[in-house]
Amino acid sequence: MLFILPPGLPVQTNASITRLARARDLLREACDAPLTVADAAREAALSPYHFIRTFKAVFGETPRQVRIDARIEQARRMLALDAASVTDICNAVGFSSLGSFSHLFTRRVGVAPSAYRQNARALIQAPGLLPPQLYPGCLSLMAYWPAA
Amino acid sequence: MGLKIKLNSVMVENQDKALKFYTEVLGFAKGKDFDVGNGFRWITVISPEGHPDVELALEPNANPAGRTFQEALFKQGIPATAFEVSDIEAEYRRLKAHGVVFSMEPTKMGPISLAVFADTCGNLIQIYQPPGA
Repeated sequence: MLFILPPGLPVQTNASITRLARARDLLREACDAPLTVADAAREAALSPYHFIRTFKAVFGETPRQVRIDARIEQARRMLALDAASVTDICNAVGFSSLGSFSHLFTRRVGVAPSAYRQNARALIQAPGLLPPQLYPGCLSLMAYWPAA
Repeated sequence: MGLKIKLNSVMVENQDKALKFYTEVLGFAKGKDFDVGNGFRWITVISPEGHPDVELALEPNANPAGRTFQEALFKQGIPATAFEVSDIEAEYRRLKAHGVVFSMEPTKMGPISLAVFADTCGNLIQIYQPPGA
């Protein structure tokens, strides 16, 4: 990262980029509150059409995908760390149907919510701390470098 | 001294998409790509025009600390890393044609020219044309 810039050069934060990042925050926050793509587009000061196009070109995903990913991520965290039932977690992250939550979760994560909970709990060594296997540190990945 | 600089890295939201963008759009070649378990891979790309033994790792931002850092840089408009180009105007036009969004159009800063774009993986990336290129 290039914190050091030539003297006299202001850090040029493109206003529309910053607004898009704020819209992304909004999409990820308040998972249980109703929020439409139009609301997020307003945050980015773009028409919904341009918002969806630009958002995808900048972040590689549509606003809707980002919102769903955030909900699934929150569910993963809660399944690993909270005592709440799968149904309660499903509601807490903004899904009204357990069926569609389970289906979506399984498709994204690869295992059903209950199986994810079981696997994650087996990995947890300290209460309240996510197991490093699920949230790797950067270069620890290199431990898996195949022998030449 | 026996220490060598051979590795740089950027954090990415989705490794599959990142590999696609860094190879198909930016034009890097795939270096290493192997599974490290839990749905993550060790992926590197190399520049066909640079040193083949200098690699850029596309690391998952799954660690919340990494993602927080990545997003804070993005919001402040700070590039995650920078790549050298020999003709910044040509690269700018080529990437624009691929639908890449620039937060800074090619701009002259003294002897060098800079531009900054979004890499679709959560980062801003700077390209620069050095003096005399």
